[in-house]
Amino acid sequence: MGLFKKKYLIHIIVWVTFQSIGIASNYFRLQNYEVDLLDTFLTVFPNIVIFYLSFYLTFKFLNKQKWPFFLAAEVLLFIFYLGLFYIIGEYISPLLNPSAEIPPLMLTSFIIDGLWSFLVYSFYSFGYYFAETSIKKERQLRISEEARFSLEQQQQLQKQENLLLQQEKLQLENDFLRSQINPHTLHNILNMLYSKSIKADAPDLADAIMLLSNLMRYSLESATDSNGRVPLEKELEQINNTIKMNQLRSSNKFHIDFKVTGDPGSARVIPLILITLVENAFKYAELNEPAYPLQLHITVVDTSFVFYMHNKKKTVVIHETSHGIGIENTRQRLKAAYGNDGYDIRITQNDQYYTFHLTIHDLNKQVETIHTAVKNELATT
Amino acid sequence: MITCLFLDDELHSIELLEIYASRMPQLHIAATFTDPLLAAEAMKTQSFDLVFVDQQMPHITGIDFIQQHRGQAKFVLTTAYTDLNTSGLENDIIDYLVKPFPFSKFEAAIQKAAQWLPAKQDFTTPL
Repeated sequence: MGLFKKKYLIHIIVWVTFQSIGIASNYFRLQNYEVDLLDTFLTVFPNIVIFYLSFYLTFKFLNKQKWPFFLAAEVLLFIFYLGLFYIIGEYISPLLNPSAEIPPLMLTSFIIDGLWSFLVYSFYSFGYYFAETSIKKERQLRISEEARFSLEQQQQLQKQENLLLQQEKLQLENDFLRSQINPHTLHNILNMLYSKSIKADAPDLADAIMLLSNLMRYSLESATDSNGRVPLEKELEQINNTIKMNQLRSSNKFHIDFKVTGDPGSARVIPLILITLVENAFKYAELNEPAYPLQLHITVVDTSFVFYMHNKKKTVVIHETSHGIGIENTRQRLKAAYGNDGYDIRITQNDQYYTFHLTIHDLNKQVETIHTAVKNELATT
Repeated sequence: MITCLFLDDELHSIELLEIYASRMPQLHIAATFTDPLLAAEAMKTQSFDLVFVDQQMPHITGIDFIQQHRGQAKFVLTTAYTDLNTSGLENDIIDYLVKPFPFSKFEAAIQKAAQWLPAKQDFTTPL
């Protein structure tokens, strides 16, 4: 309500000011000019009417690109304008001001003068129309831009929150699993089995139990640092344990070519990435042909890391129950830890062979985790 | 000769320690207990160089047991836990063996102990 009233008020003020300037100009320019407000109003009134009607026509037709309608309407408007002047000049003016002297009507100048002021006020009207619409458009654009921006921000935040929730869910599931298989109970049992096997003088059995214990301990409670990393050396040791365990199962019949080049030194890596890959290899690789051993080659140069795996495919893959840790999960974990361009996975394969190439360009690289990013975001909003 | 006491509520753990100890002639097993209270009694009357203590026992934890007998011997904590807080006991606990542990780890613990234990004076050695 306030906005409308304000708008009308502004229009009235502008018209009054505009006409006042016209009167003032006449007053100073012409001699014997008498200020006649009524006469001025009667002269100006048709112009104001034309201004708003023209505005309406522009809005109605020009806005919708209906040029013929617009022109026809303007011509009609002009005739209406002349008619208005005629009625005012011939009938209304004498009625309101009987004493005034009315000049006789000169048709040609009446039409020419009328056309002139009609055009002037129509142009004012166009100018006003275009100014107003462009301001309006700009404001709408700004508002929609702002709306879109805040929507995008919200969606982004929502997405991150979802990720966070998903992570928390996974963590909960993991914690639940861990509580189900209490690691201490598990290790106490393995310890008991180990003692018994030593007592029974069965060193192979004892070794197998020890391996199992190490593997379980590593995957259930691998102690990561604050950046979620473990010493690379530990991870390599676990690959060794995984290989040993599988060799025990196969009575040392598997053909595996495991090689580490370079010194892992104090390098650190996110845990269970390599183990997952190696375990996959034991599922899908042909291991019984001496000519085609499973090749596992690891190269560490300073902080760059390459894991190369090449194998002949098993002709028949027995589908063991999957633990759901596929290559996609590996990718996501690598991406979260080292960023999109911090690692590179190349897989080449055909019917017979499978080659997997993982490069981590810089093991020391840290990427801000989703957790911290979202927490910061939530803290600021 | 290093005089040892083995304390673990599970008998098979003690048996394993005995098997390992039998491979090291410098070790003398003076006593073994599955009950911490009996072990505490023994420590009042006898002196030991090295005490192997299990962490998870009924009535008392290994760490509490070590707390109560600080200075009386050196200790090796055996446990299935990897995340124990042993701060303040650095001078008492020589090593920390995570179960199950192979002989090599046991051997390393004994060698560490041999360095820590002061050269024994003759009058403390039982004849």
